[in-house]
Amino acid sequence: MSEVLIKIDGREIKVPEGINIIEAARMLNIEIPHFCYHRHLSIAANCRMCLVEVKNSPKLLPACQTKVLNGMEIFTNTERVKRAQAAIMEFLFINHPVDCPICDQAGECYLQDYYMKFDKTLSRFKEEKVKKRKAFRIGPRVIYDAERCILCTRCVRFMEEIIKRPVLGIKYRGNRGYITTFGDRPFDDPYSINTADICPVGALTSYDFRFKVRVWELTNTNSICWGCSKNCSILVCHKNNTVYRFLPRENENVNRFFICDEGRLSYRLIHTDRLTNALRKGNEVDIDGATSFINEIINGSPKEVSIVVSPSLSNESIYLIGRLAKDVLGLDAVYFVMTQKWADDGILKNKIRDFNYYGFEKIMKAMDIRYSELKTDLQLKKNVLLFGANMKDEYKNILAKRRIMLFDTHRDGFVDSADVAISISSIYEEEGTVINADGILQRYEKAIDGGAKPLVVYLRDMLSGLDDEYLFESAELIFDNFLSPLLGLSEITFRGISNSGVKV
Amino acid sequence: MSDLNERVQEITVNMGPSHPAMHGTIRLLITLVGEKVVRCDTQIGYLHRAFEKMSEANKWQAIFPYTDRLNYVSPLMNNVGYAQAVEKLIGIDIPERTKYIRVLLCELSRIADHLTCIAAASMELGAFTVFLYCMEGRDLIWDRIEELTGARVTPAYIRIGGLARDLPEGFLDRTLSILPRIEKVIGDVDALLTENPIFIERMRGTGVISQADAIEIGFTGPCLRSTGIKHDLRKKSPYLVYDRLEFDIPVGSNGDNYDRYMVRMEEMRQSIRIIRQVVRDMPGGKISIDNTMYILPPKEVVYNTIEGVVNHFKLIIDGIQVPAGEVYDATEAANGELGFYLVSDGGGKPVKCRVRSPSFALMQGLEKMVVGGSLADIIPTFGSINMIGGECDR
Repeated sequence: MSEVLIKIDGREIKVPEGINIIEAARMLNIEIPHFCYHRHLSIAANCRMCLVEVKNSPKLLPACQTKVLNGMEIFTNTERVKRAQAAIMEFLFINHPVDCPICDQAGECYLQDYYMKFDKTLSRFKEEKVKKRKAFRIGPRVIYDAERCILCTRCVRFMEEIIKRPVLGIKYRGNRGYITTFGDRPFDDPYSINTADICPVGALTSYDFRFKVRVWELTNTNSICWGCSKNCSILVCHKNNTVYRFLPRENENVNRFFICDEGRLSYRLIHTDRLTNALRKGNEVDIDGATSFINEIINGSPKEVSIVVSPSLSNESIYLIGRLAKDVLGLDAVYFVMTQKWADDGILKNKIRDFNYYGFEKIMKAMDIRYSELKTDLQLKKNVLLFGANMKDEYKNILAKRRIMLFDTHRDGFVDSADVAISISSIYEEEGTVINADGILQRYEKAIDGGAKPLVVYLRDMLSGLDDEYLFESAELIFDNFLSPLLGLSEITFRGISNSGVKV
Repeated sequence: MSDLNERVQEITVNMGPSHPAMHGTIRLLITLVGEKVVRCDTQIGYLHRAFEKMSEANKWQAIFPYTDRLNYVSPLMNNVGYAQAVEKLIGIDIPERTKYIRVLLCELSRIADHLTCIAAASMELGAFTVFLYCMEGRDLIWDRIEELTGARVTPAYIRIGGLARDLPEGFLDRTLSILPRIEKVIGDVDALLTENPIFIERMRGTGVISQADAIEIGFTGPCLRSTGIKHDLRKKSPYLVYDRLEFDIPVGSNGDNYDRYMVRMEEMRQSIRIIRQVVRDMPGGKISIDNTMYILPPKEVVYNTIEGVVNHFKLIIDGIQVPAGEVYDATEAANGELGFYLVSDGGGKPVKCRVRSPSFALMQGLEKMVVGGSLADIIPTFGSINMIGGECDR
């Protein structure tokens, strides 16, 4: 990729040839305001907010559409540019409703942010604002407010170019234009909420999130989605140990900048039907009693214990399960169970929903442990350690006649029927790593406190007889000392894993 | 009869932090030989409420209520001091009318503070009538402040770049009308105390601090001026409109309790002089700057235009954005130099908001002032320092 030398606001910089001025300015930490431009979408250049002055050009040029040329001199802060920015804002505000107090976008709204930075003037408009359809349920998960819409067409281009289902468009023109589907059909695309993400104003908003919380009250933590084995990078948005939403996180290696609606809304599972403390056949018991019960069996009759894994666990947990199998229980094979699959959709969704199935495969192979799907109970020993219980009914019948000792995050009828069930933290209440269907290893961070301990804590307990058990103290130690060499990642430490993950 | 050659035992008594004769929460560990003070271990901090840490967690404009509670006897002066420092850091020029109003309120607060100090110190000596007379004077001032700001002691009236609201109709006339009554109060106190032999006996020559010691310890304000040093920020580095006003700086000569009383009495008369000039010269015009990046836009604009609502919204949610940098600015508060050292990283909250508290420096001198004197002298000495817990401990 060849480079060109350009000047922005008097500062020289070498940039790749052919990038647009907005991206070039970003490399110098210069912000050029824009609405319709989006790095991953086609250029529309309809908002005109990014107009900049370029030497030898008589007119201001849109920075999103203008590619840099060698020797180009660009000015983003002259009087002409400032007047243009204030003028664009004045036009955009003319018909914009006075909605800030009731608009969900407040605090992450381009109009608000740009007014304070690039406008600061009052309007000369004295007439009545145009009235359009408001708080319109354009789809089951998205609400559209035509009065707030600035017709930037980001949503239109997203559906057409990224999802390849061009269901949105502008109807009418000029003052009367608004976004809609053909014939007002429901906008129920499985990726619909992404249009609310990329909408720079409060025109498209998420129905699920409506009026729940103000965004500046939320803390954002880097994590991954537990919906399927694509492991889309997300931000967990939380306050006071409650998660309010998932947002997509930019990751060129995995999901670029968006996520599917179902994965996005799966945050609700963090706070529903959670298993707390421990159960013995559905009755609440204290955890210490439950763990001693399990430890007695493991220590007393290790040869009579089988392991069944539901691969929605972290790499670190899976590694320790492998050590448990080999070094304590003398097993050279484990079983796995899976949740209901869904269809590969060619966009993000991967048919295997157990989010760390691929990590499970890789680690079992590297540890030389055979793994097979649980099909019959012929080889199953009397006692079964079941890690994760989110699985299809057919497995439950196979396990019916065994003594079940399970660790899981959620509670249902099957968990209630187990001999012992101990609660563990979900991936949003701990830190660890996972590997996705494309072989990308990602680290997820702890977002909230859940009350339950991570599975690795209980596994370490069961491995207390081993010499190197002191290295099982944390996910970081397990990764640095065991997983990293096992997966051939010798240079990479737990804390050093980049935000876009690493290929294994 | 005791033999004076007998070795007299030292005894250490504890005074405070809660004590009927102490104004504020202060603990003194006083080592006595008989009645004579040989050591006075001064322990402050009982009213430390982490003002500086709280400032780091609050937006620039949200700190004003905290400043009210620094020197809670003259809160408007704290408001003004803080606002002035922030305005210096941003580079704001406030309107003329604002400057005059701020001077008016500062001088009214100064009178209230001095009345409180003299009242409390005199009451400790048994002059209860003086206390009540001064309270009447102070209440007249507080009535004006309540009319203007809505509260007597928690006004939070100053804003960065201006004021909360303009003066009500007739406020200046009513302010002028209380001045004769306050002058009468000062006159009556004067008649009761200044040539009173008991008062002179208790206050002359007690609580003495030398000029050299005062300077070294960092004294400012009436306590410094009582030693003979004519240092007042209103003259030395004039701010607001003090350079256009005529007033004198009273100075003592002995650095004792009596001189501090006299300095404060005269300062009140000078403050009244200043107030009359300010009312005479008060200009019209606006009371806040126009730039709505620092001042909230007017309500009609906020309620009716999207630009107004966005502006108001972002100022409240993000805070005013103060350019990165640091500044120190000080004003002559009732107790001396009240300074604010501010550090900004360009955002909506201060990185650091340090208060240079006048009474903190004064408390350092307390031991020097009482050692060698008798136990009973500690009362008027401590009273004449006018330590205000909120300001000293922050």
